[in-house]
Amino acid sequence: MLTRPPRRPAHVILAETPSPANEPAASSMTGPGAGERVLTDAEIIGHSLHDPDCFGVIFERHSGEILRYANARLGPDLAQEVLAETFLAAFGRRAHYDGSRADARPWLYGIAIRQIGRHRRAEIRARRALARIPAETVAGDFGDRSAERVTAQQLRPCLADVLSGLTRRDRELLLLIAWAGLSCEESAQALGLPGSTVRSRLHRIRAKTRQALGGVNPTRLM
Amino acid sequence: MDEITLFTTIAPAPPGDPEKIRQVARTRLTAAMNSSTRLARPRRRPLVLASAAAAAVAVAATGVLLTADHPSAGPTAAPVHVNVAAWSVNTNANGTITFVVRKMAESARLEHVLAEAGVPAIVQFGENCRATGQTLPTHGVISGPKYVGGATGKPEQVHGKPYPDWAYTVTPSAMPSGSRFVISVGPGPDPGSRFNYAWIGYELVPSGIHVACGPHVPPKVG
Repeated sequence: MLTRPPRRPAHVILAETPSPANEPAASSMTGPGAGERVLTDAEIIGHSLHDPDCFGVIFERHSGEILRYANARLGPDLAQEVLAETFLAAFGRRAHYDGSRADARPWLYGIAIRQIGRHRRAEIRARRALARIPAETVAGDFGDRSAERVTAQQLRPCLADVLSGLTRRDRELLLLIAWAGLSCEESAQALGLPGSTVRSRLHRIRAKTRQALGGVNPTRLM
Repeated sequence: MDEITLFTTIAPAPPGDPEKIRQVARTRLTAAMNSSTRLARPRRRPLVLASAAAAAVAVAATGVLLTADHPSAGPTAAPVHVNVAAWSVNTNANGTITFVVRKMAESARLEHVLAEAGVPAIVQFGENCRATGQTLPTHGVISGPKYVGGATGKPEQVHGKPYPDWAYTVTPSAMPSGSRFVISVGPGPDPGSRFNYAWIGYELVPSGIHVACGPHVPPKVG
């Protein structure tokens, strides 16, 4: 009796290590060796057009950070739904992926944002809760910047208010940078905006935040 | 710390059991991929052959029926040492066979030499061939990258120029009786698209299985 093999063809396997945040996704399917090169997200998505199973590589690479982002926005219960719907939608739209963009993270975040947008009431509840979260349950390893963290925690209610007071578009941009760790360019890709628009909006967000903090430059708070 | 960075400090903590959540999403995505694969496979033009004559015609076309009249796997073959520009096949002192593919040329001769070395194989250059049924586990049978993307990605570099060396070592005695490899080497699915890259892959298949070669490939090279 034959052992049933995995459905995946032998020439496409999932030996994945998540790519670090803020770096182009460049993990290899098998790990690069002499004479090999790593495959980009764009190439894997291209391959998945005629070999759908390959798309699992994209999931293994990026689902962790998409989940963290969705969880931060909505909490764990809806994050599970958003994660699944994001990758199902991405799989369905993969034929439209812009192959000139090696890293699929901005594309995936763009899809995730639309999925998150379907849960606005839950998001509002999550933002209200944000102001009340105890300091020890926040994310981030600030190391020797613990003094900064303490100060920021003291500002938590104020920052939560600023977040709620932003327009939806501005809030999406702010959180892509602050919580997802995307660059301005990547955020522009995710939101489908020109880079100049993103920079303009960031300027506006900074101004609003500074105003909410009483006109104080936050760099001097630390 | 600027105004934007301040918001990183209030990001909620990651979910408690991210892998459990990811598994739920992975299961849904896998179901979608499997469904897509089932829909895609008929377009691979698999051929079910009724006679040896039809088989000969089909081999020249796009489908292959692997039947018992192919050489059987086994360790009894005489040592082989064939080294040509496009590829090489050598019997090692421990009885294993190492074959290296450098160019897509002389596939029929490579098949023949591999068979002489005790490694029955279907070698297809320029097409992505896959079994339409169950494949066999390859652990302990063959070593080498299961998938290799070429060092170049442009069609003009695929056609006629040397590939990186793709080396594999096979243990013929570990091949199940009647089994054989299907080895595909080729460029990307569409030479006119932006997703081109060279690749090599393999499957180990039992006797009698049908192998279909994908249509999204350029004409044969070599």
